Amino acid sequence: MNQRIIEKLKKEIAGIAPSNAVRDVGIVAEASDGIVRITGLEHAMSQELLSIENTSGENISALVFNLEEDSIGAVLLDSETGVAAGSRARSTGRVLSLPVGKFLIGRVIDPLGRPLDGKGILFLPNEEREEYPLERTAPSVVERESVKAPLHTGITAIDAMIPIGRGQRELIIGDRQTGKTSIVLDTILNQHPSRGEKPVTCIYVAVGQKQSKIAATQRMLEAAGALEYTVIVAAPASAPASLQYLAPYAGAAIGEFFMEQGGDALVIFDDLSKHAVAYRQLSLLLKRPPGREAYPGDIFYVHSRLLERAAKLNKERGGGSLTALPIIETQLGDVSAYIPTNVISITDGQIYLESALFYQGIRPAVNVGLSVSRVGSSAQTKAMKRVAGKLRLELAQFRELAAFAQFASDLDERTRERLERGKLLTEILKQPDRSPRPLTEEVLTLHAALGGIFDGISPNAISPALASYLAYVERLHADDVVKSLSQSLQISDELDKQITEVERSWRKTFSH
Amino acid sequence: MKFAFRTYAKAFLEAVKENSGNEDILVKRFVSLVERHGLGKHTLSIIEAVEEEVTKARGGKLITIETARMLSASLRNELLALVRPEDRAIEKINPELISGVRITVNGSQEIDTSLQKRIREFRI
Repeated sequence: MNQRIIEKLKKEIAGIAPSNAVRDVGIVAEASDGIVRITGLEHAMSQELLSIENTSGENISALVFNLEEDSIGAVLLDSETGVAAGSRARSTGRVLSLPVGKFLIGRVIDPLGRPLDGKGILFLPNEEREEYPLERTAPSVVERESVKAPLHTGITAIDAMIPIGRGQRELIIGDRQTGKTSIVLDTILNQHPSRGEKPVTCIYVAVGQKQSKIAATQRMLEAAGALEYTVIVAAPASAPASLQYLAPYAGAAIGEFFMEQGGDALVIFDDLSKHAVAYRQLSLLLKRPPGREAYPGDIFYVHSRLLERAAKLNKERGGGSLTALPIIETQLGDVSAYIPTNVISITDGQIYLESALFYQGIRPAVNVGLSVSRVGSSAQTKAMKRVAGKLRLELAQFRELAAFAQFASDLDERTRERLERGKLLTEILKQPDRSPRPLTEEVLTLHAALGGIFDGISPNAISPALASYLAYVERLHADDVVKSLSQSLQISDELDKQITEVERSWRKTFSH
Repeated sequence: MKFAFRTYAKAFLEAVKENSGNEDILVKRFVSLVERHGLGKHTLSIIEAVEEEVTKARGGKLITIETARMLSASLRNELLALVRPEDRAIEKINPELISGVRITVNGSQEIDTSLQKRIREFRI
């Protein structure tokens, strides 16, 4: 049997018509720290994918970054084991792309499209699939339309005062451990089909995180049923800087696939600070001239071309949308640092999380004064617009008075009322992790709070009172008030009266 | 390494071109520079780079001929007959090719008829 196989093998090899065509080739002159310098390959193009033979005969992919007079600077996309001076490099004539399709949903992949979750191959070898390049031109002005449809995060403070629309870029910025990732994970959870809103495919891009944290995130999403509409693109801290650099672009490419199918997608970049550091590392190793804080001169363009790919397409292009939620970590609350200011100027608003608020127990620790959504109420339902209109103003007045009241001993009745109302609203807006609220609950909560139904209840008792009220409405008025609200998404005068009646009747039954 | 070997080679040839009567001094100083930059063990590579630059300067091509084992005299002469006078041929033995020959021109183009390539392209 062995002899037969050997004969077959010899016949097969002899039968292969050798290709004697002249091919472009390069020789690796230097290889270290994930960077290779290659001589030759005179026709190589920028961002072209190269194939380098290592000493074991395996092909290692590399990406052309620098085109210099005498050599090419390329970054290795795989482990650099076996790539040494003298290794041969060949051009592929292709740019870096990854396979995209519905088969990605529920999977954890790396930026090159290779599965990391141990659940087997993504697709069969001869299965038809599309390949999207990681670097793509953003949709033009003509292909877009205004952002109007809301993307609900399920976090009342955000949906009421910093509303996000489908197709918007909203930055989440704050110091470490202030709840940035919690906000985005709650947003993913809130896109569950049971919420009854138009489905959103979520892509969570983890850049430079601990593998244990990525695994915990995957487990949490799976347990909540969110992995059924989520893709995770992982480039952990142990991944080469090249993969950490490419991860957000891979996430954007996947999001663009769903957007161009006419659907809505949400891509989360967690976080772009680590992405900037990875790009800085690559640039310095490639001996590109360092600029401010040693970042390369094109660090702004790295993020702007990524975030510009988020868009709301017009009907001619399918009407799909890609919403981006980039995350930036600040140091000691400094939003005027280089990378934070860059990304703030690119995005359509920011949600600013403060450590001081977090440690006071105000979670989510959103600083409403400094946070903004440039899309604003265009991305709110009429119901939310009606109830949330006064919220920001009331909280702003409360903040001003709270600072004043620290020093004043005697306060007039009106001031005291405002302070009490402000404390009440602050308590109402607190939300635990992994508990996004459906839109109807958010609207009913704010309607009740601003209508004064919770006045007189001590701040410690607000949370149980709110839970009691929402349970009361769900139990007794699911078929009238809740149904009417969830179907129309607006509060007519008649519905407003109905809700007020329900609030009064609950208050009569509630004792604290 | 401070600079690429090619940079050293180009600098050396530039200096020779500008000071054509002082080649002995230039060679001594060049070798001393290479030693100072800690490239003593790379002198062969630097000499190859100089040869390459000289070949290019006179319009020739640097042709590297790799075979799996030593060629017979007749086969060797047949291959070298294809090389023009202004070109420079470098012969190398590379057992990894298994058989056949791989010719690289100016480090940027190759014709590979080795068995190694055929096996790598072999698809079941």
